[in-house]
Amino acid sequence: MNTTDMQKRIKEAAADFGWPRIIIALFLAVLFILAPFVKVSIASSLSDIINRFGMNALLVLAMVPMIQSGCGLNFGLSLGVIAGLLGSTMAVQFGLTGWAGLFGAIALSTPFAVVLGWLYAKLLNRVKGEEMTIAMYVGFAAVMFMSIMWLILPYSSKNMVWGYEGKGLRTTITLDGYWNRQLSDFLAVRLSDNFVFPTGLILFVAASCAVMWLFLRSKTGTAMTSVGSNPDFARASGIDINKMRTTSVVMSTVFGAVGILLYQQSFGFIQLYTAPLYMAFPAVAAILIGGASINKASIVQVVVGTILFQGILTMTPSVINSLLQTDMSEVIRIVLSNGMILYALTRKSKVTR
Amino acid sequence: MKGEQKHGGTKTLALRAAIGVAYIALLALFLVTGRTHTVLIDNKADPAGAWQAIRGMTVSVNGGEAVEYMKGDRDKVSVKGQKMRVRVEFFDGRDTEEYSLKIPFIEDTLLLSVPKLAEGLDNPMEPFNLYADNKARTDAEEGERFGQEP
Amino acid sequence: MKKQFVLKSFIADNLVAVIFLAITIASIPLSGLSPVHIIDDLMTRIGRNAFLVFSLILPIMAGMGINFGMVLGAMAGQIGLIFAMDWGIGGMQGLGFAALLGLPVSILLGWIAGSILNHARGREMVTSYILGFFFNGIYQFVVLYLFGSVIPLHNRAIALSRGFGVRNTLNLEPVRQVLDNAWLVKIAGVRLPMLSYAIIVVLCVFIVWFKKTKLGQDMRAVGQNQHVSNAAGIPVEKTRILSIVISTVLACFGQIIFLQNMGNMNTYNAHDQTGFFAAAAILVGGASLTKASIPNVFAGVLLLHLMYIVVPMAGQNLFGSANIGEYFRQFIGYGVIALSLVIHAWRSRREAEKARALLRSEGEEA
Repeated sequence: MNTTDMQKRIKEAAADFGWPRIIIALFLAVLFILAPFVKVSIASSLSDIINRFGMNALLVLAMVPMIQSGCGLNFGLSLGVIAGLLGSTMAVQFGLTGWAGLFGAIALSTPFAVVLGWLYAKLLNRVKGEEMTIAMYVGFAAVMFMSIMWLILPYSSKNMVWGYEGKGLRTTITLDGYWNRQLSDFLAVRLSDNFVFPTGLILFVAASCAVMWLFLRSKTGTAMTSVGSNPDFARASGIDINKMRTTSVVMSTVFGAVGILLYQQSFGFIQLYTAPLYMAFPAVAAILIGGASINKASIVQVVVGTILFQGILTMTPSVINSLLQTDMSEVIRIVLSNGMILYALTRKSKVTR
Repeated sequence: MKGEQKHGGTKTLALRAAIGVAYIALLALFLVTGRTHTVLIDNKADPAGAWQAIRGMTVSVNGGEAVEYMKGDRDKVSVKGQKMRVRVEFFDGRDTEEYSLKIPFIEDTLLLSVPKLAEGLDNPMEPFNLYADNKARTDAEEGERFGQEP
Repeated sequence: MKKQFVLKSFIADNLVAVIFLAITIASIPLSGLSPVHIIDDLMTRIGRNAFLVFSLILPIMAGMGINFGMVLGAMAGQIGLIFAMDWGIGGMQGLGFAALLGLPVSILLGWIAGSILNHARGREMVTSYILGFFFNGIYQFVVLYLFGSVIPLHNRAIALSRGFGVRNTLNLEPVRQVLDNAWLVKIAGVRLPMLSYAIIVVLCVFIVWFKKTKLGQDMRAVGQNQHVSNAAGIPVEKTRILSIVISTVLACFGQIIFLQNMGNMNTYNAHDQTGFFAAAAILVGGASLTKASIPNVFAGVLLLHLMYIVVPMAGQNLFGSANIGEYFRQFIGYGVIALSLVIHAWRSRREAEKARALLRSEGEEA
């Protein structure tokens, strides 16, 4: 009798946590166990995962405000990315390096992010219901529009423009000599031969999470959450739903802009043109893997989701490829990340239209 | 409605079986009538000297365009189906000949040596292994495969 | 005041088409292409692409929005073509073979997609979009790893050099343009692929007939109001699934028609933009997320492809860069879909508000 009770409780806990997540966590564990047998260094894998976590965490964190306010998954994250690209390209154009470069980029991106986010919010507020698809295509259209802009805008710095004509930005711009790995190397701790802990980066991510956490607990934050989980109650309490949604969208876009800047400083390059097209999808997949649903997300879910997702992305190529002598990582990534999003989209939620 | 279902049980089963048979029959029909083979028409002499190349001719396959072949020429022709009618007009005054050949279903590419055919030798048409030639081209192409999908 | 309102909704109805037409007409002289060339290209494109766009009609009617999952049908058709090319089957037989093989696969995939969509009510479009990506992953797995190893390939020439997996580019020479050339009519330098048009006409007849059948009426009812249909005894779930199945099958055939005209198949990427092009076409043609008709398809294919012909060249001539033309073309494509979605969402909200206001005023009168 006691064992069946326990079994029942374990089953319930598992269902609560979500079978797909458990499967993914187990999959990751299996990969780690296999690693030494296929000559994959655990130390460098861990180092990779931590670095990739730092790179992507803020982009995933950007999902939280909009989920909480009931705007759904932010498939229009590319707008925030565009703001970040504008800021970083301008910083390089002005020749800002080191800390001035990184924080200059942040400072330059923010006004763009606020404006873009505000416009994006106005649009979303008028189309309550089909936000996600519209966000996707608005994002796509914006990326294409910017692609034209990158060719025409009057950038002139030699490191950024095509050599032959001297105008039009290159597809990738290196940050070497500007602020490449600025945060990652700050206070970095070398734990072993292949393991360098990017302290600065992780500190920044932790600080951002703390800011979000505090915000969610503030008056505005709780109001935002109530708009998402119980709009009638929110309206009855006199909360301006549209204003809350706008705040969440602007926040999301700003975090997206800073997120791409963190990504860039780890990656070492600014990627323009069609690179931002699909950037929202890994972030969506990550937060869903972490346990979020379409209208509820927490910081813990962001962290857990990003670690699991990046863990799979890191370990699968190295382990499976050594095991099967073939590169299946791309296919596994596509199936896993989209499978997770599908799973989340097909859950029944309390607040459905 | 339930009564109808009971009656329709055997009927729908028979119908479905018939559709299944028709489906497979159609597939087989398309396969057999549509299968194309690449036939290389060859006018080269035997390196060991067993036969000589024909000094000039035109070759038309299955009523298609008559293509000119001089000594040493080789060209390719696509043949749909398993039967092949080869019509050869010789430049050196010999009578125009028509030959009928059967192409084995399984082979993709074959090499037809017209000199051998004209002289009535055995096995004028033999399977041709294209794979060896193809490898270099395939290797060069295997660069990009995936787009940017998530 | 009533007149003003009517004008507003008329513009909104055709706003997308109007903007489109304006940009396209402006680009024609800038492109430097001759009218004959433009019309010739347009006629070919209509024959090639229209079938695919038709596959979107039924899901819209059934209330599922744009079925981005039609790409599953495209993938099924491509698998059929891989088998057909494996055995070098040419001519109409090749197309028939590919279509017959793709048929059960599309039915299965459509059934799965429809079932998943039934679990995501209210979010069908985004779900079908992700479904497309998800099954793309499975398709890549099948075509890259299973063909040649688990699924026997007869013709080594279409396999990758490592022995298994299909080549990046599949040569469709045996079936290249068989539909187009079967009955080609030339008028004043313009080539008309009559057989392709004939097939499209047959499809139109089928759709008109289908809409009159019980199943077709059921679909429309389900699209308008699921609750009422359910109460009336219509099997809502099954009807929705069937609309997706038919859509997927049509997409399978449509993709085969598309590829036979192209002559070459990019094994891993050919289906990438299928859903996007079809959606853009039908939306430009005046369809909305809840209403789509045959004229929408024709108008849309005409406008969209006319734009695709002239705008890149115009952009190139205007800015001296081919890239700008390309980006502008994609921008307009995505923008059109976004704009149509926005207008539709905006209008359905207004209609809901109108209904509410009407109810309120009626209540007051009573």
